[in-house]
Amino acid sequence: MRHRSRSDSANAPRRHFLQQAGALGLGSVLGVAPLAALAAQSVVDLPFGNGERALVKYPQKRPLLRLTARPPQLETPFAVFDENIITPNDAFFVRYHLAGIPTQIDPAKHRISVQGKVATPLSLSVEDLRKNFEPIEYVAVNQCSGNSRGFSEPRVPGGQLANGAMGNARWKGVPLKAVLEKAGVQAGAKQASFNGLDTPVLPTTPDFVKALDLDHALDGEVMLAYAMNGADLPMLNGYPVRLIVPGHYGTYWVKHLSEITVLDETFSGFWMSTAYRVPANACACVEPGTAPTKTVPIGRFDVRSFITNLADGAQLKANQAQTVRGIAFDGGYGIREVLFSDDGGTNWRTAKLGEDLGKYSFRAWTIETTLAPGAHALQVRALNRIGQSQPLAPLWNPPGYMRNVVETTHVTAA
Amino acid sequence: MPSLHRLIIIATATFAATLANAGVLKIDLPKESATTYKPGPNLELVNARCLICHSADYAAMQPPNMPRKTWEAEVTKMKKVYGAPIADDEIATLADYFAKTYGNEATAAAKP
Repeated sequence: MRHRSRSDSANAPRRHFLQQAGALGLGSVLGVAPLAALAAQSVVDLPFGNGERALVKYPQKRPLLRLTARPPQLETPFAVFDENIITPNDAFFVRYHLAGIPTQIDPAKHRISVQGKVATPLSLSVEDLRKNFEPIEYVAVNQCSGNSRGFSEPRVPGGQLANGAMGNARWKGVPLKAVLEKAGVQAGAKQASFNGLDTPVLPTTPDFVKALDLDHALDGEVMLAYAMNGADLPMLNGYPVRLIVPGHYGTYWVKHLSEITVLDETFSGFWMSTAYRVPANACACVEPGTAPTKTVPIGRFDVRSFITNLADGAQLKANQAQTVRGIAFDGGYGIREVLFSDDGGTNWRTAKLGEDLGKYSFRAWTIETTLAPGAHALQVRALNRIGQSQPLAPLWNPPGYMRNVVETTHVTAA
Repeated sequence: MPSLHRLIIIATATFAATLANAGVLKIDLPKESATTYKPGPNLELVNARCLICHSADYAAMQPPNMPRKTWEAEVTKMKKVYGAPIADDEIATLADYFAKTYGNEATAAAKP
């Protein structure tokens, strides 16, 4: 990620940024902008064609990379992931599909209806959730299905994201299971569908509704969350209540949740039957440029890992031990091992894992490296507890979902 | 000064919490930056059809090399899947605009 000012007389802010970077030592090598400096920059150039993004401040948010204005789609600047293993609410990415988004909500009046194939339909307020159910809490990553789509080659249409459509937060709320049990699921029910307050502009556009198989909905982990990192959810992240489907792509994490419908059939809405589907094979991939013959709804995250304290093109001191650090995560089995290579993948060493915040969380890792003068390719590859890992070459599918190639960071030591 | 400082912090925190408990959460979104598509053939039709549901940056961020058939597929999807009020005979016109303005035909034309 390169940063620059849109202004032609950009020297002053640029110099300002360099001085700040220099003052912060290794962690702030060129390209990893301290946030204060980042906020001062008005435009970021993501490293792919048409990757110019304005940094725009939205309500309850710090300046984020704007993909689109209506509806808002905002990406987290990657430097945020080096600050803290928990992504702050004001830096968390934003993704909507339909432009009819709520901008004003009275939490006292908001209701979540539970209907369909249930014994007792319910209408729950946020207060009901807080008072009448036993809360649960866990840390979980949310990641957009199309995170990193901009790196797809050949490129594909869609939201052109770099790697910042992900975030790790501590969610608190009530298990969907408890809510469904209170309503009493009827025998023969197959799925539950979830709708939120966001609506299409035209009545002819399919409303954004998602569905889960009932056994998934009843796993005790899927959550109706009313708190994020100890605070109310920001409006743009689903205030006052959103569905949390840990280990699964963000498409299922319905925001401003308002309607849960228990169904005795497989939900047939557009956003399940046509959109958000991946090739029905183990790699969720096809030969680049071809179409899959059979697809299934997207599901769990694959394994990913990133270096967070060094950006591509960073310059390091040669012959001096330095710490490389980053994050890894998977679809909820937990990270078993993170491997690091500083010679372009010939030799791999095991990184030291940081605190385990739970199987759905980012896992921090660190490793020391001493580099000879010259150019080096740093790579990181994670393994989860069921042996899944990351491919050395990128996999491809037409919608540009689930990218998880082993990332390479090119640095120079001198 | 430290005690005054702390008082202010406590007062601010209390005020914020009160708001949160009592209150309606209301946000004002920043103004839409791009309210028109780039100049190109039949721009009026493009603006009339393709600004109803989303901002123009949806097209501007797409890969620079997308061919006409990809743009045509996108326009067709907007009509058939998302229900955009696009007449059948407008699909080719809109695809032509996007191919020439945002797609690979624009890239080719821009090269010396």
